[in-house]
Amino acid sequence: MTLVLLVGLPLAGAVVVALFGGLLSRRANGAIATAALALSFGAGIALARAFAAGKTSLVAEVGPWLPIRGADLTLRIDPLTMPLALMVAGVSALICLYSVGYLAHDAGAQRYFAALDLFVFAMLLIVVASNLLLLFAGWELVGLCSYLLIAHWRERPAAAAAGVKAFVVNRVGDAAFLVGIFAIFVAFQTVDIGEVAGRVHAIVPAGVRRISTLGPDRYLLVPSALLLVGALAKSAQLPLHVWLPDAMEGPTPVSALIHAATMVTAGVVLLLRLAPILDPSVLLAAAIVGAATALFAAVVALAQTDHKRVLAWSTISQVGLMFVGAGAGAAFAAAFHLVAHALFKAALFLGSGSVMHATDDELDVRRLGGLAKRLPLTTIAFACGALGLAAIPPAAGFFSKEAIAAAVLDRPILLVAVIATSPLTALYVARLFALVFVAPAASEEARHAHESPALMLVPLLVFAAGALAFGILVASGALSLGSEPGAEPPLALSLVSASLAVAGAAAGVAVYARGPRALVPVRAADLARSGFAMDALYARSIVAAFRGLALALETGSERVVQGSADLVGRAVSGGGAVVRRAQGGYVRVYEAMLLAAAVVLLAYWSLR
Amino acid sequence: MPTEAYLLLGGLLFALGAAGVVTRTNALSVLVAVELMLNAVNLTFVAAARRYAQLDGGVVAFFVITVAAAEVAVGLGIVIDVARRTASVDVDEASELRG
Repeated sequence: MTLVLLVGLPLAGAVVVALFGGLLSRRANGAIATAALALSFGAGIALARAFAAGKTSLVAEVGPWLPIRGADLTLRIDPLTMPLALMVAGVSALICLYSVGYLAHDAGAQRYFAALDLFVFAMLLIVVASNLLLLFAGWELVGLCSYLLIAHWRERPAAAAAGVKAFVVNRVGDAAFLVGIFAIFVAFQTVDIGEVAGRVHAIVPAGVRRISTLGPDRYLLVPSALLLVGALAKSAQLPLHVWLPDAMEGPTPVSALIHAATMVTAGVVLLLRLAPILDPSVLLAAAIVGAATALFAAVVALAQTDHKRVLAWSTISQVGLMFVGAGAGAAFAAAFHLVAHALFKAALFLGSGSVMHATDDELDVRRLGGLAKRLPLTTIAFACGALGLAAIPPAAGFFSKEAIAAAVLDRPILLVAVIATSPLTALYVARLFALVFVAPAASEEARHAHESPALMLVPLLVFAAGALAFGILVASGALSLGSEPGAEPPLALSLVSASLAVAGAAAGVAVYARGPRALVPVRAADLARSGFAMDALYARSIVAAFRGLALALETGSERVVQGSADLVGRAVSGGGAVVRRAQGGYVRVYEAMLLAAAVVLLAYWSLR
Repeated sequence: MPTEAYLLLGGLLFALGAAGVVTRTNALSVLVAVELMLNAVNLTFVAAARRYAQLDGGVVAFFVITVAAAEVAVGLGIVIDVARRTASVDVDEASELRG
């Protein structure tokens, strides 16, 4: 019952706000939405207490759904997903509270809060769905809500385009995911995750031969690869990462929500939950893609000039690290970094939103600066988040990154990628912090900034405190994440990555404390800023190809449809031109015709 | 007189009337020719009534006379209207329905 409340309350909040929000003020809408999420978090706490008291799994059967084995409305939560559900509900509740202040003057607040609650419901469904189809329903709802929220300011063409882009790129992954589910159902005749996992190592089902020629021990290779494609799209990993930087067009709390709690982590959740089903080589591929993405996105983040985009690329990079952990089989490390990332990334994004609120939506870091004096609380919170992202001890990011690095100790290439990402991350986040808060103010807006209202500062400071304290709590064992931690990272590894991070951060602050400067050739910086032109590449290849195809189909169908309509018209008017010659207009001709017809008829009748 | 003679005369009169309707261009002459055709038919009916000693043919002939009166009334009305518009009673002048 508590489990149903955990998932159902956000849905109820969404329905109430959507149906009756029009009768209430913006603030009341926000209060209802926030209350639903806070109560959901309370239900999560109650569940966590049950787990602490020794429970190992909880199941709630809501009812039947589809006439397919396993496809019931059944929720299941276990020690692995418990902290994830708590994180989703808690982080969302605080972000929702922040939104009440952030959207105090927005005409679309009702739409916003309804979509936000639905978003959280969908993500919780992904976390606790007991079968693949229910999980897919949540998966699709997440896609829908991201579209609604990214395109919240729909009158702005860039926002509308970003929403569509996020939706379309996710379609690629969703299609692969759905086909993967079908393949699994054909093989196992059930979509229940527990049942499938239970049969993986048992007998090979008869249906397998129909879908696989790879031999009985590799029959899950293709379905696993398809599920991985779904996870890559939702989690914005290479090569399907292009939608996430554009998603910055949405309101900043939405960015915080998408990055911290409800969307990009869905791919990691999927990998963690389905790890027993997935083929080992696909898991390795996930780790390799994650490592490549982590490095790639960190380099791109270095070149960004828009502070929200720095954070967007940092998310892509950090989720890459989670993929490394999940792919290497270190569920604890991945979940640890997932929750730690949610805390520090929420602090950073809400800090970013606070900066925008204070400076009339200034996004360019080269036009900011000196905000440490004007916005002291925001600065402190942002600094805490930055410490977490840069993985400088004792912030949470340090411990979780250590856990991931420790999980890939026996895979040198992955280890090098993870360690190499570390100083780059510290460098770009230090550059961001230095340019926005430390460097001399570069514009009138920055000079006259004013601190945000308390409604926005409270969630911000809570996240900041979480980003600092969470790592110590988990590493010292005071807070359990449900799954078993892996091997303790060796001291040498900790020293190396901590010193690399500190060095990167120190270099960033030292170089950029006095304002923006160009360290690399402009063309190289521009190339990196554009994400190594992958957007342009897609636009020229895939998008252009589909445009061409659509255009060809459009003109083709135009010719067929329009042509056949024209043909009918021409036949009628041509026939008319022939027949109308008989209509001379002379009465006597008509009379003669009448007479001739009468004669012909009479002759016919009398001769018959 | 044998019935064949009446029928022959009726057919002759009908053919004359039909030729008049097709060849005449004066609207009044056309109406006269129509009258000729109607009365040729009347003659045929009456001859048949006499031949079979029944009243039916005569009755139809009376109907035809009545209808002919109505036809002339309508026809003359049309002719007057056409004459007002085109200042002529030539049926070839009223050829505005040419396709």
